[in-house]
Amino acid sequence: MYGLVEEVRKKREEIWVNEPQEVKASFLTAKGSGDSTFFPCLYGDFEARACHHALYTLRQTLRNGGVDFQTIMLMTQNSLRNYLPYLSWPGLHDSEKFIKDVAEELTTIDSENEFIQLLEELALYVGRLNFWIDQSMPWYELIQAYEAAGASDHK
Amino acid sequence: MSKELRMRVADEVAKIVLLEEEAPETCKKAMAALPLKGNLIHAKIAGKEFFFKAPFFCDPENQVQAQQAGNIGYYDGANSICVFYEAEPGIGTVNLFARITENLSGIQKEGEKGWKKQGAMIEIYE
Repeated sequence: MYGLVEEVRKKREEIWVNEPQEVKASFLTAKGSGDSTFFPCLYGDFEARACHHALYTLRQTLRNGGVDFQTIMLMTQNSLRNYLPYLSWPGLHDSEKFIKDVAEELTTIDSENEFIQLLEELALYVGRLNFWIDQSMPWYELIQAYEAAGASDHK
Repeated sequence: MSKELRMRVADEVAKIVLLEEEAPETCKKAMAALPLKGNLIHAKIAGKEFFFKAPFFCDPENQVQAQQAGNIGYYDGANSICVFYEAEPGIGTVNLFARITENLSGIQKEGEKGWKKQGAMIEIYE
């Protein structure tokens, strides 16, 4: 009955404790301008977080009432499709394919309650993906470099 | 008698107590998801706080903004379990659902390390 939800939950549980291979690979191979992995990884970090917030907001809107879930379903489908390039650029191709497939299958869900569960599992998935990327970013060194460059004086 | 759990951050183990009367739903969801496992992410704006992902959603209850050292909260907006290792005025509210009762100093040490290098293993367990 809960086929798609279970599928997403299973995928989410796979990455919960074990770092996805695609994240490790992204920091080694994703190339942006200047042949650097920095911006692809930064985009992966920020956009996975933004995708979590979008899914969280859709779930909250549906729970609060006043909108039918078919509308939220279409908004979810478009949101997921819009985030696909931001998964592709850092080389997160496994997640890109997974989210693309989920977006295609959304319309198989016909109950609001089940759709809320799907939004929750999807939000947890991209949120965990975001944390895997975030923890790999050398933030402390970046902060030191930023402060040394006098960035806080550029107002 | 309040329920006691352990929280391991890297090699440090602290004793924590659940605030089941103040935050019953959050405690129930946390208990159902034990052992809670994740990796340390340090707060970038909120000060001396680190957090990790919780595998559940929970509605607001026992919302607290100004934090004491040793407070443990759940932030619904990011499905995160937040550990405040120093007192902070706070930039948002969390469901305050647990407190560190033993070895806060060990957790503070790991929090400071986490500011420089994230990713330490965290586990909350019985």
